[in-house]
Amino acid sequence: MRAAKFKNPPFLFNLLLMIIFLVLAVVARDFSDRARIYPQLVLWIGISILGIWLSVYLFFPTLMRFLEAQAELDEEEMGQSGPLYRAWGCILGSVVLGCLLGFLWAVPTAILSYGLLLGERAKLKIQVVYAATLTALFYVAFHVVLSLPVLTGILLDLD
Amino acid sequence: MAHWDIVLQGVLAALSFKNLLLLLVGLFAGVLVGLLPGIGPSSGMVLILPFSFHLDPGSALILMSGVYLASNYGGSIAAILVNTPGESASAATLMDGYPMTQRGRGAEALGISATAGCVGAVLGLIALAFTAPMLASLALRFGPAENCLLAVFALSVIAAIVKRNPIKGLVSAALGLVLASVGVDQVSGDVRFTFGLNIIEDGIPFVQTMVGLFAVSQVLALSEQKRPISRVALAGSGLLEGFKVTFKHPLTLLRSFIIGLWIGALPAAGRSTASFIAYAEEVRSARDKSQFGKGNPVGVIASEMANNACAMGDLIPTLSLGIPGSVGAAVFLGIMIIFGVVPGPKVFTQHGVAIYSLFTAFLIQSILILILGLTYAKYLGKIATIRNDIIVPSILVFSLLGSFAIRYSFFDLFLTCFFGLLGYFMNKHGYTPVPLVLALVLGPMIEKNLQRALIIGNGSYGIFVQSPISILLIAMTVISLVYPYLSPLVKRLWGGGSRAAA
Repeated sequence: MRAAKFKNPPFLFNLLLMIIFLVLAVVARDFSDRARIYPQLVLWIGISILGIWLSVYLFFPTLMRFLEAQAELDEEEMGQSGPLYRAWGCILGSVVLGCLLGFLWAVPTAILSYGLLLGERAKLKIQVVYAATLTALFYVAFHVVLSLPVLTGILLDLD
Repeated sequence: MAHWDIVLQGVLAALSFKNLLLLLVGLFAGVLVGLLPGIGPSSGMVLILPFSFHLDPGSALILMSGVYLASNYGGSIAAILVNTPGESASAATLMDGYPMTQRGRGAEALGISATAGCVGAVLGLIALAFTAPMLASLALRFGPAENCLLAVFALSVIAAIVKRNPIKGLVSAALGLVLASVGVDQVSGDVRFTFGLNIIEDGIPFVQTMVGLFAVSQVLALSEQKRPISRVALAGSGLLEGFKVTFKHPLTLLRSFIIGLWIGALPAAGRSTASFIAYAEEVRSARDKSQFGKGNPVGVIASEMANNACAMGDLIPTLSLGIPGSVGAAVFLGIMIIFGVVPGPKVFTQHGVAIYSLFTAFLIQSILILILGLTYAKYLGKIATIRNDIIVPSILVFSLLGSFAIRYSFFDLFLTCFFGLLGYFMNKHGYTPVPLVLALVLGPMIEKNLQRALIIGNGSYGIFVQSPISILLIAMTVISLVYPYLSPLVKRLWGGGSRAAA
């Protein structure tokens, strides 16, 4: 029970933020007088709020329950981690691929991998058609219509 | 320049070919965003934000206004034909809109939705055009201390009310304010919190942050959902019948308009609240309550009228004081500031042309939505049934390419991904990213006014409690923060009192 309390994501998030704010408050001491007024004010207000939250969370569970009970109940439940990891993998993978190989490799790979990992795997041919069509559409919209340079890879310049 | 000259210039600017084209693009983007469940006007505006970067402020706002307003109607089409509200504000429309479709009166419901929405938006716009400048002129007396406190109040309202969890809202706002201090200090020239990263010397980029927090986080959230495959119900005929039916209920229109506008003008109260309260009011005042929920046109009229009046009402405090009327208005406010049109007391004098061209755009859009609603709306329902595995990667590619297009930087892509993950985490754990974004945008204004106020006050913070306006703003900030905690106690006491009286 006690261990679970320390694994609570908002607790860890607020604790991490408090540590970051404390480090930044120390860093801000080296700024000139004018430059440190605003960051120090904001950081110490932030540290106070986080300190209050953490203290209430750790030492006054009844008060914490009352405070949390007033929040809107639309807080979404954490879904299954599988789809989240796969989606995150698609996002990060496509960004890395875009940086290395450029638009023409990254966009169809992103669409196709998303379709295969999170959509209907059985319909491979349809997914390939979607990926090709959407890539063409994005290329025309960005490069031809809006005249924006699309991603050019560091390793391959297939733009 | 005389006031009417500014108005005329604004109207003419909105009627230029380029702006009319942008207006149409924004309108269709808005309908699309509204039709697709789970995206919403905030994410929609953020998605097209990178592509509006090369436009002048007036044109960019016209483009955004289309998404802001038309997403309402897109959401209503999905609610009426697919039984899935495209956005939360359309949920009340669904209660009688979809049963009307099941009874073969879908086209009539679409006609009602378009007509009531148009009337609500036009009347709301008139109220906005008259009240916002008056409110702004009152606020012209504000000095740096009051302006600083006003921005703090705007932040506190959003932090406290969006998820009714002020502490987590304040944590989000504090994070945004800290991020706003990253980069070169405009006054001293000191480089703050960059840790050697030259690319953030100009500060944390707003647009890339917003795209991450709203669009990429939405991609992650949508990836978890297994949306049931919906079918589009046949709308049938009777669009014009809907137009006529709407005007047969003038009292419903009036009541719902007042509710929508009033709730809109209240800081941070959104469209879904307005449409549900208007719907509940119609149920309460009806003689025969049994027909509600079974396809009563009055339910659709009330919900749509209040929803669209609220969209305009939201902009009253947003434009005149810089206090966002809702989450969507908060994002709109952030976008306005990014384009240099800073909402607040001086917006009508310094950016009058852009503001009046925005009003003109809203008027034209309302009429175009009515025309679209009475002609082609019934064919648009199919868009709402597009599968997630097509929508989600499209949003992902669109948002990342948009983020990259601003300054062609790979760093921005990773920054967008980081904020996407942060936004996802915040949404899942009861934080809201809206105060973070607003704080990031308002941060420089708060700092500038704080510095000015301290110079005027010879370095003393006493300047912040010298004028009655400052004291009022501090009191309102405190009230907004404790209100979510006090309201249940007040309700309990009130309820106890009334039970005892009974």
